[in-house]
Amino acid sequence: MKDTDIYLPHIIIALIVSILPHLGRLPAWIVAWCVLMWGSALLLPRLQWPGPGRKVLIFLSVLGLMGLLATFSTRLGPGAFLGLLALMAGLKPFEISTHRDRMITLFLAYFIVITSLFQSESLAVTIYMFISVFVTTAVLIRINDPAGSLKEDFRRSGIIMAQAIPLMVILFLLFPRIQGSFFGLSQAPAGQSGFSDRLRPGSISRLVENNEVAFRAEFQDPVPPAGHLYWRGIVFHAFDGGQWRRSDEIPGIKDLPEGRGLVKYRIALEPHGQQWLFALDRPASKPEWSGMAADYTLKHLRSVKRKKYYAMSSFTEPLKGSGWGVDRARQLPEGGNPQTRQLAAGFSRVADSVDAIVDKAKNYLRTQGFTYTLNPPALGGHPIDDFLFESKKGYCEHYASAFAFLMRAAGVPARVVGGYLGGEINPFGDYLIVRQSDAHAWVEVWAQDKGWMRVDPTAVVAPARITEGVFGALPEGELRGGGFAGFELFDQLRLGWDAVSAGWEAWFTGYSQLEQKALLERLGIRMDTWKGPLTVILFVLGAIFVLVGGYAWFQLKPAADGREDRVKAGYEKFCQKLARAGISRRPEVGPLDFAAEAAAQRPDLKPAIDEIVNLYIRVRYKEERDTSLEKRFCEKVKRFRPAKKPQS
Amino acid sequence: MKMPASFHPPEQPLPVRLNRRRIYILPTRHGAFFILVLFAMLLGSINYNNNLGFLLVFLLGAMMFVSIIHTFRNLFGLEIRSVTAEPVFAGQTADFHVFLGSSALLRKGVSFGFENQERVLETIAYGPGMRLDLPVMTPGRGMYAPGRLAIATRFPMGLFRAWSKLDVGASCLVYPRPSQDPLDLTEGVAAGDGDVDLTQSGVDDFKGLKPYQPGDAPRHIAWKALSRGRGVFTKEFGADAVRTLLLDYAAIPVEDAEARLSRLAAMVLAAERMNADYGLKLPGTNLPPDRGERHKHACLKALALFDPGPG
Repeated sequence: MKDTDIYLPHIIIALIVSILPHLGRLPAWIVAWCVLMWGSALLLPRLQWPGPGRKVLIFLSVLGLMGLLATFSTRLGPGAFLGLLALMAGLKPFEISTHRDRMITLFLAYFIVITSLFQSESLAVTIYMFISVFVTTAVLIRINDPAGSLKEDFRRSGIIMAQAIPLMVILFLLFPRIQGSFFGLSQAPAGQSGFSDRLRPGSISRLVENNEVAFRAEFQDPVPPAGHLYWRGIVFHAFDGGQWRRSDEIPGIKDLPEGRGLVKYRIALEPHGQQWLFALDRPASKPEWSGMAADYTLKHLRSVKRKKYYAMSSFTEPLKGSGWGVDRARQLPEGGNPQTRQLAAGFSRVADSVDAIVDKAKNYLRTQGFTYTLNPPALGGHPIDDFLFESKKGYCEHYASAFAFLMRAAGVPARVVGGYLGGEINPFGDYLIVRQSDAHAWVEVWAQDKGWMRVDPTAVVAPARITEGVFGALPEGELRGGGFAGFELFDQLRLGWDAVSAGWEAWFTGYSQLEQKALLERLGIRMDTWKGPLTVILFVLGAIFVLVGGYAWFQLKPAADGREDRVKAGYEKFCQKLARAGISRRPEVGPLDFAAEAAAQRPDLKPAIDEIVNLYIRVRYKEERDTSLEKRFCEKVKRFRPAKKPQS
Repeated sequence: MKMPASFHPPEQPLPVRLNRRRIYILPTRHGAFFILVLFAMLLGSINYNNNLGFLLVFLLGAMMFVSIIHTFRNLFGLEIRSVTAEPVFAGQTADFHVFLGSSALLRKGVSFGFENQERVLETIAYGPGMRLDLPVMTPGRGMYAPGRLAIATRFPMGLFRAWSKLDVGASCLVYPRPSQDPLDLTEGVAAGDGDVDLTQSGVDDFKGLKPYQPGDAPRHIAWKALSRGRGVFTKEFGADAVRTLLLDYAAIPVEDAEARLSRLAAMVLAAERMNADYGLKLPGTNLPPDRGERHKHACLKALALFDPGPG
């Protein structure tokens, strides 16, 4: 077999392992391309076909580049870059005939590994990174070890990795971090799921099947009761007859809200590509790098493209705040939905307070046979009318939208709030996991005496939505998700993993300039004078020196392998004893030949010599150490006393 | 005979053990490229403030550091016991036998080779007595010193190369290439020794009887033995009965010195094959007639080392 044929499968394994985490992000044709190329690279030599020549490879490269252009056109972002790497990874196995090509192919694999890290920093990705480095390094060793086997090389790869980890930890902790972006390039946009700034029928129900985590919340005190877990995100002020929109200009809030029942918690927000931050109704504080708008929504300065950690506090019983937004909360489109307007007019005629109107509307929903479903029928030209009087089936956005419309038509200022409701308590970490499927919409109405009040029309129709979540509230059979919910063990494992993973991520991804500073200060290094950075540099250099030097000392000291000293000394002693008896060994003569020579000269010593030399060979050339055998060998040498002259 | 042009330290008395001072280590070209790739990754991680990116860069960087020790250790403590080579004729490949002792359990991918010569990649197991054969093309006759022995390794990751160049004083005696021309042994025979006929057995000295084989000359059949009913025997007369040959450099009718030596080498071999006693006379050297392997090699050695002088 040629070298190429031996190494090819190993190199392809390394490439597959490095590209695997990208499968979901790569265009399907590039995945197919890689499978096709690798398959044919493996198969062609078996069919005795020569691989593609240089011209064919160039043609394929051009073809791939054209495909890349067709797919990404001018959006030359990280996606296109990853696509390019994958195309190269597909073609590379055809040209690994030289050592140089093989090395470069494996460097490419390392490079593909790092691109997967910019997408997510979860514990799973971290563990997978170690696995891919382990595999790629084993293959790298394989191509530098022609006589070896992949199994031995995996072992060596593991050893090198284990030895490297202490140094890695020190470098990781002490390498200076800077705040913000170095070149003004920003993070690759992460997956965007969750809310948009529009609300229309379907915009929340489409999230139900999405089990992705929106954020996790860890409370200082026990988790508040389910009825309080309304996570505010976005407020929709304007309705155009079809959909709700957030108003364009919302000023910042003047005074932070006040209230009673303060709860403190920390949020770990998954990147969602938008600016809003989620907080329990009613936020009492804001992270310093965010802004609170007059409608109590929190906004990040830039869109959230990486995991965000922030401490929050909220009031479960807010006091009346400012009346900002009341005017907007009265506006309705000119015409449309006449039946609803009529119904609202009826409410406002008989009821004298906001509470009374709200109760009337709730009562209407409760008594008129409304159902909570994921699959409402399509609504016609007067969507609110159709919903309230015809279909009477809908998801939370239908209820919130119709309820807010109803309130406005009845003269009560109302607005729709989008966010999440509830969450799953993880007993392992004592925190709440809020998923996209917990997305919810509700209504806030303005009462002159109480300020903005939360009203959840969905809770009227499906009270279980609050206590049991979406899965409990929806009619049976509407959701396939949660199929594993029955398996307690699976649930336990899932929640346990989530707790470990979230804890790791909170520490790991959160480790930045501030944390580093705190760590250094605990070590007694202050970074605000010139001495600090210098100490760090010296410390890092010292660590490299001590660790690498330590390994070197351990690996290179002559007695690293205790067997050498003892056994070698024993053999030398044996040779000396024979030399004194007149039989000397020339340096190039191996032990077996020497034994034969010596026995020929001194037949009387033959049994003793044979025994010692056989022992020596067994001890010395064995892969594993056998201490008892070594002891026996040394003992025999000690007892060996050849007479100067043959005894007859 | 030829010494390497570059300066080199005095010969290492063997056995020699590769220690810290004898092993050098530097990144390979691939290692330099790898450092470049790591640097690019580091810039990316700094830019995106990506901690996992940092972790990978530092993991790979630390592995690179650790691999230095592994590469170094792959040579460290390796012992060169002796380097010997059997004499060869010019143009033949000489096999240098390198006797190794190894204190480590396993050394993988260690390449051995004399400078500018073919390299041999070896795995060396723990033990005192490993032999390694290094083929070396010999240029011309003489005492050929292939120069320093280079021992190098890129194991395990190929990012660093550790090497050691040892002047082990290896040398190989290279005999002149025996001439391929048809031989006339008379031409080298010293003048005054008369005609010799080496092409057929002489008739002077009776050596003994051997069983008759078809083709033996009828006049050599031992008729007496036959008549006594002992069977058919042929009388054998030894070639050693031939008068002693004295191969003389001066008597070879060729101008070129190397060609003369080449012929003499062929004649030595032929004479030895024919069990003749032969002596060798070179200007300044005189090997009295004798025979046998030892004598043959002594003659060939004299031819190999003969210095014809200027012109």
